[in-house]
Amino acid sequence: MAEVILKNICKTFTGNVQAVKNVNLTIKDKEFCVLVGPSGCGKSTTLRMIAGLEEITSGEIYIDNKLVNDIAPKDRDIAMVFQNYALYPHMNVKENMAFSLKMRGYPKEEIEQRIKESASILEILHLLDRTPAELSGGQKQRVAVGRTIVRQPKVFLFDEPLSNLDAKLRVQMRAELKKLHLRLQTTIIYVTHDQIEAMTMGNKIVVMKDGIIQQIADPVSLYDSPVNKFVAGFIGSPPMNFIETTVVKKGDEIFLDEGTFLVKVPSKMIQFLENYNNKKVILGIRPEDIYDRFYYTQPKTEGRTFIATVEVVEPVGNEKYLHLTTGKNSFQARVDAHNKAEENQDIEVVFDMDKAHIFDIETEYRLGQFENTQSPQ
Amino acid sequence: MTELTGIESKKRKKRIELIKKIISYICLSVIGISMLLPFLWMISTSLKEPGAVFTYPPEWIPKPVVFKNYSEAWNAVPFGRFFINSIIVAVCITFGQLFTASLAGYAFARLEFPGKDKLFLAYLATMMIPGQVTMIPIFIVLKTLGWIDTYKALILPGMFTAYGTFMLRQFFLTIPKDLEEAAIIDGCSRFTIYLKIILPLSKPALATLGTFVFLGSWNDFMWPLIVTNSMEMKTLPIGLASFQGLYTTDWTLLMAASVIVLAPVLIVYIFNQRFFTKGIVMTGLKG
Repeated sequence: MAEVILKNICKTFTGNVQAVKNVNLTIKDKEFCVLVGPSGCGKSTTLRMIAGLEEITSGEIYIDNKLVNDIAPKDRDIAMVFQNYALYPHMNVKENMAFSLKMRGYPKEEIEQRIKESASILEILHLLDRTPAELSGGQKQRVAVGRTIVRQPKVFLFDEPLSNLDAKLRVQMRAELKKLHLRLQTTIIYVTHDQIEAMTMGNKIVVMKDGIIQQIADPVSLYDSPVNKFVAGFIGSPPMNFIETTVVKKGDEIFLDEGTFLVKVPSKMIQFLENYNNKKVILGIRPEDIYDRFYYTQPKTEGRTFIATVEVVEPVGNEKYLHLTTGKNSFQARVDAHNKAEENQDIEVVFDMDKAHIFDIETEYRLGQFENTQSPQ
Repeated sequence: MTELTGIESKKRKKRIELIKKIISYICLSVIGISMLLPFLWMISTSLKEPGAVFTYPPEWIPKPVVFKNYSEAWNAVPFGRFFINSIIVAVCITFGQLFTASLAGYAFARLEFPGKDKLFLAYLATMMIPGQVTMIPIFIVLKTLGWIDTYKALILPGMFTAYGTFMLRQFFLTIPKDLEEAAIIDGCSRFTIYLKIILPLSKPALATLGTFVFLGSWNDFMWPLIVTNSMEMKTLPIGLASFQGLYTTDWTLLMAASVIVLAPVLIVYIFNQRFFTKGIVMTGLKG
């Protein structure tokens, strides 16, 4: 049970490739922290540095208040689940689970007992005599987790552990890992490129891009208050729509002009747009905040509606995705499954501007809010 | 109509497949039998009377079958001693080579040290030098050390192999790094990883290399001939050569002795052949 602290961590690979740039991160005891980002963002490298498999170019890593920069991986009291499970093919499940304990010289009885305990938690008692070759993907996954929990380490590290499973199993294992975390009450650092995995599992999510931490937040704040355009677009599926607009001032009111339509900026946002008159900004709006006027029941529609053409309708069962176009910009709306809009039909669209975000076109920062979030370095 | 032609073409395809199969079986059988013929001829000759070796037309099944060639051959030279020598030398060289080649191969495959690639190239380059070139220098070194006519002279120079190192290095490179990293976190040192993870996973490669080395050493004639003087230190191939005189060769005894010499090699091959054919299973990874 331990806190993990990363201070100014940098990693430069040979050939001067900077994989991780000045990462500062505190992962509290018992926290489920997810590092998420597109491939090549430095999340796996960061995890491997915590594990000690990768040397740190500069910076400090503390596990349980102990500087571990120069401590060998085996002495860091961590356990890691690898993407490919990395089960030893020549040992059976029991031997795989016992290996690390044997290496550490635990007495036989204790090894037996710990294996039994862990195996029953993960429901793999019946697999103990099998070799990895005789296991299915899901079973291998359980064994890989089992191998780490027998150790009872201070910190668990997971490196994209679910990415080799099929979609259905992934959803199931997601919930099981979360349950396991609740049961074990220990610090978990989890790396994934899948934002849904990140959102569903983590208490703390760290979004990374190009080796830089973009934002550290809990799932809800990350979704509601993304710090910049990258985070806004990365979190959420289908992703947030981004529309380039010009800020237009009309009396006391401010509008965003897309070219084919105008939408009114809510009063709480006006103060942030003072210096942007006649300048371009990016309007970001999530698909679920776009409505078909025909089904819209809220009274507030003034300055929020315009006409758009339906290009494609994608029914997914419980809802529909409408691909809309204004002729200049395209965007997606997430509407009720019973929506009757058809392809090539012009419909009146409502933007829920209270939930929309505005981004600076150059810095790509979200205008207005920096509370509850950590600004990028 | 089209359906009919469909069935027709299917039938034709099947017929062509069958013909192809028959032809390939015939070819393989011819090659197989021609490989086997000298071996069978050796066994046949070893069971003949001395006068019956060159009868025409050749007799495949000797009349009468004579077994005494074997006992005679065994007693003609100290075969027991040669056998023991050959076994000691071949086994020591085989395990020695497997040990040194796997250690060096692992170092070249996984450890990072300055000049690694250059050193590896230099190591490989030694394969270009024919054995005949190094024979005399090695002999002189051994002579200076006073090792001539000892097991050391027979074994030590054969314990190192650039070829084996190269082969094992290539094999080790195919073992996923994840496994080693997992082992590092599990608390293994580099050497424990080599011993507990790499070696057990390399059984097929080790068996293949081991068989080659064993055969090579078992059949080696030149080196034991050079470094041994006394009868007690000679190995089987040299013993075999003693049946070939300057003017006459006792074919029946030579063939009987050859069968005796061949037996252990056959056993080694039969024991290890599953490794040659068996694919390498790396199934601890991925679903």
